[in-house]
Amino acid sequence: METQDKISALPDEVLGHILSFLSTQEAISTSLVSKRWQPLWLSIPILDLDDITFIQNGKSYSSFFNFAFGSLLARNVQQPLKLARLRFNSCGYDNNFPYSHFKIWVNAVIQRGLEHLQIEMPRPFELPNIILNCKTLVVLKLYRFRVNALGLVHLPALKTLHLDNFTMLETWHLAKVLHECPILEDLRANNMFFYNKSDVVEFQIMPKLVKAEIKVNFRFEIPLKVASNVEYLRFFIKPDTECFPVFHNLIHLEVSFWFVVRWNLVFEMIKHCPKLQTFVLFLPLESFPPMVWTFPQIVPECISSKLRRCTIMNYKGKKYELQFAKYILQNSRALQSMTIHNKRVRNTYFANPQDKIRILQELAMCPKSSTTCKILFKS
Amino acid sequence: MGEKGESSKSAMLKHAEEEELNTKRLKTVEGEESNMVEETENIKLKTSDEIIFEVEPSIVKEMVTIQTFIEDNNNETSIPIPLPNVTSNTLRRILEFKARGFDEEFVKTLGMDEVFELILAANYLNMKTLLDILTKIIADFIKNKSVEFVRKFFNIVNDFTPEEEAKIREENAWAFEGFECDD
Repeated sequence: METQDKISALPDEVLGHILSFLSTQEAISTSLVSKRWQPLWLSIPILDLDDITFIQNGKSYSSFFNFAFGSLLARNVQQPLKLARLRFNSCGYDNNFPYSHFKIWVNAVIQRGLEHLQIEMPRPFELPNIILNCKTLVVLKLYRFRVNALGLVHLPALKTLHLDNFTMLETWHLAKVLHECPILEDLRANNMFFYNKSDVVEFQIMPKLVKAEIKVNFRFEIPLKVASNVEYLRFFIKPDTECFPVFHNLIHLEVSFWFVVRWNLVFEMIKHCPKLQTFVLFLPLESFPPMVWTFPQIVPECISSKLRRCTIMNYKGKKYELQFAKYILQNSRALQSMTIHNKRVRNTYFANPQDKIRILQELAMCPKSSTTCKILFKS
Repeated sequence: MGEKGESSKSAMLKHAEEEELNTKRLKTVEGEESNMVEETENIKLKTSDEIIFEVEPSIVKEMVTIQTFIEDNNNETSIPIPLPNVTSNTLRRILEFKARGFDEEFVKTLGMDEVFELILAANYLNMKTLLDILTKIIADFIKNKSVEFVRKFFNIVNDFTPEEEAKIREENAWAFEGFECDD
């Protein structure tokens, strides 16, 4: 067979591209492969650090930070860093997380023209201020931080902001951060908690926002008008919602409920999405007694003429769930697919396979408004 | 796609091209109707072994090198554009790969040599999506493997002396602390 070394003949930028898919640790180990490979890892503008191997080998945080600093400082300081990914596993046994070292590292990395930053902390720590004050950042993904005090916020280039398991002291903290991201296109606020609801909070419409995913502790809310320009929206509907803004560009909508589906709010929301093409409903996992509801005689315009795909998650075959599926099938002239997800968690939702077949049949035999509609089942 | 198109093939190609555009739009505005008339003029590309391919403009748009060349030459597309670094076999494979929606499994059926040819061509033509997929596949071969395995797999000669290698390990000890050195 071939004994030629073709890979070493690839140009530097291509080899660098290959190595950019590896973690920094793996990339550095390729420096031992041959002399050709030795300097390559230094030219990749990416730092991808994960402490899992350190934990598995019984090393401490200071060992990991030696590595984090070494990877950074071995490089030419003039060379910009495009992406930095730092992942601390929550099973890190060492309770002495060197927060001050972490802060210094973040500071140094940000100042190298960083465009993409992703950090996952082992436990909630205070967010270093400098992260929110960086004019080069385009993508920022933060997991498990808290903000007690907000410093200067300036994120003029930021297009993607994902905050997961994030705590802020005050709701106005978030309003301020969003206000300082004028060109933001993709927002995710998932499992966000606040301690205080500020009396005067100015959340504004984000004009460039295209995609939003919002899940906030149910005692607080981010006003929906923030996302009124989006094309894609996923959020939890609060039971006390009084009004919805119009979502002029919304094409893809996913809604969840905390405990009980409020069908009136489902329809109210849909009515405010004139261009809706894809609708996904996440039914609550637990079964609570449903609210009584009569499906509207006058079918919302977007359901009858625009809706193409409908998905129901955590389907259990209950009365209103089935009625909703039928309502859509009967009234959506443009519907291409109805997908039912029956999520199995320990015991199946259906008492026995007969139930499942019965429900399948009921839906299959239901009169459909759209001749090209397919019904799909997934479990 | 393919060599020497005719007008009926053009119509088929235009249909296929529109299908492709529709699936690509999943990420952005889903299925918004376009009022623009699509260019039906296929672009002629001449490979290093002198074979002329007629390629749809939507595919050529992904070949940034060629697209830039066309735009720099006032969209002149009547003369075949030479690709001195790409053979007909390689271009055929690229078009085949594209037609299969960049199916990774398809790449895994090709020999390593051919994959490297594709990488070089994708790099030359500046086809970002194709290059990302191919380089990632190679990266997956390297992931979690020892240095010795990587050398053997790619037929790379170790030109370090044992002393040189030991010196690198010592200087970068901070980097190798995270795992057991397995070679």
